[in-house]
Amino acid sequence: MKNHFNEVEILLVEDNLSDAELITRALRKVNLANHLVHVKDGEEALDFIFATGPFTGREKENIPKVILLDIKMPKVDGIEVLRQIKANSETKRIPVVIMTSSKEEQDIIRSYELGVNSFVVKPVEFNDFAKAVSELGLYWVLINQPPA
Amino acid sequence: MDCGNCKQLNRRMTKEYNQTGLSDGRNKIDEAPEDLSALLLEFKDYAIIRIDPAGYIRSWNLGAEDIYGYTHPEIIDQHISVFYGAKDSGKAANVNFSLQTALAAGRYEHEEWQYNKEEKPFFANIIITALYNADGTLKGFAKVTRDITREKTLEEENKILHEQLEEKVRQRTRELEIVNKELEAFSYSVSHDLRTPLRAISGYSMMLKEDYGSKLDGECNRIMDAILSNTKMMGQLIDDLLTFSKMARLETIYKSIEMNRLVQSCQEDLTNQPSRHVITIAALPACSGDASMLRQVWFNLLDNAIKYSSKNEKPQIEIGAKDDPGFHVYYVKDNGAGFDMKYASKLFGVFQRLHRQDEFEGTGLGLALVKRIISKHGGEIWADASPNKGATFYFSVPKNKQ
Repeated sequence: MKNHFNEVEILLVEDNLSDAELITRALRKVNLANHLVHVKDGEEALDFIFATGPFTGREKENIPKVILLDIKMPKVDGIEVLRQIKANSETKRIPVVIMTSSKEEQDIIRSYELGVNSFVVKPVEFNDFAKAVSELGLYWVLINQPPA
Repeated sequence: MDCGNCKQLNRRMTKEYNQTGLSDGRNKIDEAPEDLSALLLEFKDYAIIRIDPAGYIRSWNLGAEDIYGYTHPEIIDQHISVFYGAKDSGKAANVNFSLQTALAAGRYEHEEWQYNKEEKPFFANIIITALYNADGTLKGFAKVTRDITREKTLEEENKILHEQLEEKVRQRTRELEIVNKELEAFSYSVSHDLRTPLRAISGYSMMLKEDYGSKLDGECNRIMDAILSNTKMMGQLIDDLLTFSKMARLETIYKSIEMNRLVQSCQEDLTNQPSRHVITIAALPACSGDASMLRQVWFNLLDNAIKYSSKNEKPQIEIGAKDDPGFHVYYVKDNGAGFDMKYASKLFGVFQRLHRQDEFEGTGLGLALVKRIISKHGGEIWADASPNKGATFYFSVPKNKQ
């Protein structure tokens, strides 16, 4: 398996390619995009996290410092990905940040019930969005101290 | 007619006459037994029957003849189980039970199906009372029966109608719930699906500006700015629309609200940068309402006052209250652009604006939302204004709302 999958700092789960590009660009500006992997839906995210499917052979113990997770995605949605991550003893400590367009109350409540670490509503305006992304990237990758 | 019975009634009536002080002469009272026996005999709506201790019929009135269909000679000395008819002979055993109960408790009341001579069933209200001789031995029973088939039928028809109505309400509620769910799904999709492409438009325009701004001429940059300000506007519009539709679904949670504190917090949010506006706030009475909704009211009214007075050299805003019977009335007054009162009816409509976008920005939802909240609270909102002389917005909240 390709080596760079074992040095992932940020796993970006986002089906919308424009949003993914905007997020990557904002993170690149604060030098956080070097160890970023982008997967395009929930199924791919689960394969990556649990080293299955196309990611068989990836070293599972190399966990990302943070997972940025969209909610509304085809096939497996973000809430389900979150549930599986938090239900598994090997992955439950990975910080997960939900990033979504809607501030639907039920989504927020459900996410916190499942143990999400942060819930961010994507601002429509680019500047606000870029600022939000870079701030949370800096926090989770550089400031937050994960358990050893 | 048996006169032992009449004497008893007479005694009771005499007592009542005396008690109520209506006795104005012995003669009238002495006439009572005769009157009463005629009355009882001819009283058509009630079957009045005297039964001996063993359950045999000893006398009855004309009402009984009407209700049961037997003639006087036919019925005398018959056992009262005859009223259950051949079809319902099992119930005849209950007759003893009813007599025993009347004996034990003094009185027995019951509703059940009985049969007349033609075996035609009718629904009967029955009262049986035990009668005693002067020496305390059992004389027999008085049985009073009333045909309440009509009432019973009406009651049952009512019950059916009521059930049908309830079912209809349940069905409508189910339909409404489905429509509501659809509406919620729609709002969700509006919020998510419309925001995403909008963010892409804004994002890519910004990238273009950031990466190639220096290579583009002034006109290109102006166009780019127009795209950006319009996406911003549309984002605002979507957010406002969602807040507006959400408001309809939200339940009002009534608490005692310190209005001054709400206004203060709105003012802090709206004027965080040094402001030219002079805002005076009078003491406002507390009221009962939903804190987050009423905050939205103050926020929108204050936001409008600041916006529409911003072109005045000395913008002034006055917030106060006045007392009305049954209502607290609050107002926000500014010395801004105002409007012509002939358009006042449009003020609180959805997407209605009285100013062009290049004069004052807005989505046309702020006051519609305010009106919706105030209506939910059982209050009213109105305005008073004239062009270039400012506007005053009043809203009322009922005093006794819980």
